[in-house]
Amino acid sequence: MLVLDDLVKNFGALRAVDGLSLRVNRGEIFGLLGPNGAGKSTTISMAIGLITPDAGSVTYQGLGSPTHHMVRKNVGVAPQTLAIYQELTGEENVLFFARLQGVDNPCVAARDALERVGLTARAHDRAATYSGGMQRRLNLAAAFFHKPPLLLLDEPTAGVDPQSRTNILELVRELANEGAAILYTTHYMEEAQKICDRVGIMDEGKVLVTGSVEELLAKHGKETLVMIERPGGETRISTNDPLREVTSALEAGDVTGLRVERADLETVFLSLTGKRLRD
Amino acid sequence: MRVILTIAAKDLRLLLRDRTNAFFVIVFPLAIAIFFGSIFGGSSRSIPVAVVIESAGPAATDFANALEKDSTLSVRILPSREEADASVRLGRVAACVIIPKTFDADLEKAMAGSRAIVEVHCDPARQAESGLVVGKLNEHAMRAIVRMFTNPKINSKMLAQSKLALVLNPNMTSQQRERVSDVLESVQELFKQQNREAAAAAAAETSKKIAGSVNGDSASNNTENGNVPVSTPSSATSPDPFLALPIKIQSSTLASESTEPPSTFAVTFPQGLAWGFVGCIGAFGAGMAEERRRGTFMRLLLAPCTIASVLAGKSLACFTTCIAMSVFMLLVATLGFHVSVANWPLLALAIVTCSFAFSGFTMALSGLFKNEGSARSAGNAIVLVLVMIGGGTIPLAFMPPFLRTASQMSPFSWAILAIEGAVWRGFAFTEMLPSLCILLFIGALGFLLGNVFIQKRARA
Ligand SMILES: Nc1ncnc2c1ncn2[C@@H]1O[C@H](COP(=O)(O)OP(=O)(O)OP(=O)(O)O)[C@@H](O)[C@H]1O
Ligand SMILES: [Mg+2]
Repeated sequence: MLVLDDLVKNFGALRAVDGLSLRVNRGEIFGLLGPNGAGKSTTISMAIGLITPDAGSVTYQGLGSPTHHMVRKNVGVAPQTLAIYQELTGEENVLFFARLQGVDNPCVAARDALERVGLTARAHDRAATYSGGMQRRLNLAAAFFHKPPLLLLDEPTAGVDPQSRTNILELVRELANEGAAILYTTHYMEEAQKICDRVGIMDEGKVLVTGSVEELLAKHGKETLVMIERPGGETRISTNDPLREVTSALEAGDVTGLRVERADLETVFLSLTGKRLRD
Repeated sequence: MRVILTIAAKDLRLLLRDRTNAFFVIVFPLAIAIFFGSIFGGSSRSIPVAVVIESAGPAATDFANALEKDSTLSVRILPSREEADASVRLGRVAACVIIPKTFDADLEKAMAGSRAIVEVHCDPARQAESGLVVGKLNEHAMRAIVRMFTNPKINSKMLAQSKLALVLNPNMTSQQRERVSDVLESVQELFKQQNREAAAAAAAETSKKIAGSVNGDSASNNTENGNVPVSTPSSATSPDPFLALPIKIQSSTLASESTEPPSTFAVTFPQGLAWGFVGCIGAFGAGMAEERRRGTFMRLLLAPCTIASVLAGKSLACFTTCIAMSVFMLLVATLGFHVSVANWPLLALAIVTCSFAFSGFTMALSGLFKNEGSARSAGNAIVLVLVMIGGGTIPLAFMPPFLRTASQMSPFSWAILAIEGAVWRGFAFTEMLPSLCILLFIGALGFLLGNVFIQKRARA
């Protein structure tokens, strides 16, 4: 659906994006995982044509040229910096964008989108009176109300409480299941691990590896750590087959506690870059 | 103290980071200083006046020549009073001066109490300039009188004519007639002597300057005799003909055909409307920068429409506000202040055109600046200057030539002229057409520039 090929973007002397290539398929959530300043937002901006890349190309397969304004209505964007009118109510905001997009039934679309982000009760309050997390959800509603086949979500869960975060992740999953191709940026590896079908790990403008979470873990993650507590003390076993280790430990008996620590994307990032995702 | 200094340093740094802001803090005051400096100081400036010479006599020609030589007036001689009035009406000149057919004949009978009248028709919207014109005319009238009394050809004829007029005046008692006659006799003696002296002086090739001062003295001798007292023109309406100057400047404001002279409110209404447009520009000029700050600019760019249509939508809002403001102002003016409008359809046309022009102008302005703060301050500054030079805040006569040219480029000058044309100048459609075309051009250019600027900014 979305194909980014060898994108390069410089800001003065700074190379924000450096030869980035990736593709996002229909019904798939592609997670772009990277620390602050990795170039995630710049990549999104290039993907929607707001920033012209210095080199490389953006293709929307089957939709046409992304520089054409009629093609861009197939894209929904939730930018990292909130893009809503504080003076308008939640409903007025989504309604305005729905009318602008030329949606068939803007009122229904707006109400539906607000419902899905859990803002129905506050739909008639001005956005300025919303909490940070609510504004973030409104920002998301303004991205998907027209059910676009391509969704670009730039840190849609920033500043959102755990309860709402779970709701948002579920919503994103639903949207993908409905057939949308979703590019999802985050620096929360738990999120990426939880909902992304494939993940690209990004640092300093480059995508270092891409693949499913399982693949990345298998390839770049360390072995799983199994910790077995016995009255005499704790034993740590590094293994590729944690299930077997646990079974044999239980068979041996005398176990007072058991902990399994799986390798995660954090360790993948660490092993790829030699630094932690968030220092 | 440390806190205060820290805050001050931070604020100064913020100011300097935004280059447009810094520009307006440093460069703009300089521009304003130069602007006002050249208005209140400075040199060559002249008030445009139209002059019609209806009288064929030498005094009329003399008077007109004197006006032409005056550097504070820029005189355009026109063949008829209709054309002169039209040029005031169309705002081309501040006033027109008419030297009537009877000017010379009346002046010749001056000593018998007759008065020659010079008519001035002033543009009611250019009071300050008209005032200067009337002042200048009074000065020239005084000079003309002095010249007249010292010109041998004129003064002898004048005495003869005046004597005749006295004899024929039925309103005088014989006693009065006798006394005036006596005075005229002695004046005649004085003139004769003076004329001989002048002839001798000319023969001796005395410089003109000296001749002038001698003449000036003899003129004041005349007044000391108490027969031609100097009176201010405002007291020229005095019932005693001998207490009046022989030349009277009769000024009136120009009325459009068949209507009365406009009320003060009618004159100020178009300017009020211009300030209303300033308000609309202020409300919408920072619109694009605002969208950018909110981040919503991006969503607008992503909508399945062109940037031009986003711009068109924004300017439609501005246009609607301009129209609503104009209608409101018009209601207040007509219902509250009894301003009568000469031509309603033309006024509607003028307002629609102005609204178009100013919404286009606003779009150019809104595309020009990236940052909301600079869009506001710079926008206000630009608009303020344009209103000042084009909006009649400062009379054209007070401006040096380059500012007068700039004033021609200010959309406000054309807007005010068009609205005045419809309200009280009594413009015909063809007379309004040039202003309308220029306003349409300004509006279209504004949209075009705004579009170019925003397209440029849309893609980083
Ligand atoms: N308009 C700009 N001008 C100059 N530099 C920029 C601009 N936009 C981004 N950058 C730089 O490009 C790099 C990548 O920025 P980007 O916003 O894409 O990072 P990110 O991965 O989205 O980070 P975050 O997780 O903090 O949102 C950064 O070093 C940033 O400073
Ligand atoms: Mg970002």
